[in-house]
Amino acid sequence: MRRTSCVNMRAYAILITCVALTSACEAGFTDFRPEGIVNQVGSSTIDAGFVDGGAVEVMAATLADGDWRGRGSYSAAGRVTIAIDEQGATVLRLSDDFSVSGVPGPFLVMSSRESIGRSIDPSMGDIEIAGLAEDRGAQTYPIPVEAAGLPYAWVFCKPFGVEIARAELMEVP
Amino acid sequence: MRASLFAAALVFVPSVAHAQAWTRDAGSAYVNLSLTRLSGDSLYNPDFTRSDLPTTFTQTLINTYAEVGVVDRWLTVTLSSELYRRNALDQQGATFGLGDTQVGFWSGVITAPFRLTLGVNVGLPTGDDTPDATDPTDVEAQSIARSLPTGDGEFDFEPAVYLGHGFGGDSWPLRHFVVAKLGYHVRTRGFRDAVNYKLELGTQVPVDFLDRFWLITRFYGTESFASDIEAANGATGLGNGVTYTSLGVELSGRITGGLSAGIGVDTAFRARSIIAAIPFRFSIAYEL
Repeated sequence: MRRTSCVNMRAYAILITCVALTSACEAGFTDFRPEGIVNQVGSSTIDAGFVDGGAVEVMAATLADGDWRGRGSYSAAGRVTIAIDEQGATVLRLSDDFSVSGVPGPFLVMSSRESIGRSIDPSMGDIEIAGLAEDRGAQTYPIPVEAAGLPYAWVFCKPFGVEIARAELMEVP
Repeated sequence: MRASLFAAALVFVPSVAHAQAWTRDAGSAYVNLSLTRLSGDSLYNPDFTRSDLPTTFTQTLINTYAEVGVVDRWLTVTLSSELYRRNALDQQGATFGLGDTQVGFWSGVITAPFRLTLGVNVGLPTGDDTPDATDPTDVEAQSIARSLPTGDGEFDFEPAVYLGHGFGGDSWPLRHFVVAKLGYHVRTRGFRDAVNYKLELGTQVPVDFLDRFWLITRFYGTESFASDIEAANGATGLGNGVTYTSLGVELSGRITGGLSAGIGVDTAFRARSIIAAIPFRFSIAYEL
């Protein structure tokens, strides 16, 4: 009886210790990307010459827009607009009713390709814009000027290489 | 004669079947430590199709499982915890740490002529469902880290029923046990509920030395009620909507006394929102 009691106490102690030790722990992270590759999207620092031609009034303008469509079994809704804002910057805007499947690691990409496939490839005309901050609602992202003329906007799951949503952009006259 | 045959068969039921259908007497305990590894370069999409990954995904799990009899027949307590979970995407990054934990409470409602056990598993979110990169301001590194959670981030519970029966010997040259399980997985934090099921057959050759081994085959799975759209938020088997139907085989052998070891492999032939890969598992166990 005493031995059984001791075994029970030992077993309880093991269980309680195990449960106490299993309080939520933050995961560690190891970066496997090749050295020197750092995300520099939106942080270009090319020096250029400047000639002051006097103040110029900038007119905001919509350049192109399109509807989001989900790829495969993923869903997407809302519109994307490529525009010049009041400060003269080229921006990508997501509409108030924008929504997309909540996948891990989503990125906005501009591309000349109808299909990105498994990875973003700048040599094939893909321009990575930014990580998608929210999977729904209105958002605005600055984009390079050279991206403004590309015909497709994408939401792409970069870690797992999956096409999530695509919008075909039509020029706005 | 029939009763003694049943009794003899039950004596030889391996520890792998305990706390599933066979509950433990007070003071009896069992602990198991396992290492599982899988590696794959394709993914089961939310619509059950398969797509190639741009890189290789590898997962390593060290899991512990323990069960203790508290009250003869009426209460067996179980603990299952992923002591270490590591998820890695080749040339991208990896996360690692403690995974999720389950505590179970089981009661042997019927013990003869077959086993009927009822109980509940309670899931504790001890893993990290939103891992951070070393530098969270690095957008790409952060997206990699967030795509590789070590836990599902939600409390859940699963009431379940197990049926078990041991048979064989005498006129039949082999001994067997069979276990069937049906559980309803109640999930939280917006995760859809699921039904979990399992059918398991163990076989033993009752000959000296060979009777140390059990060959176990199992058919099991989980069926989530999430729609394809709802199942799109993960790929590592921890997200909403994970569904799979799998076959597995395991060889368990008694080494000496209460010490045993096992080796197993599983494969899913229908799944969504998980990596398409074959997990290999090695385990060592001790029974008090």
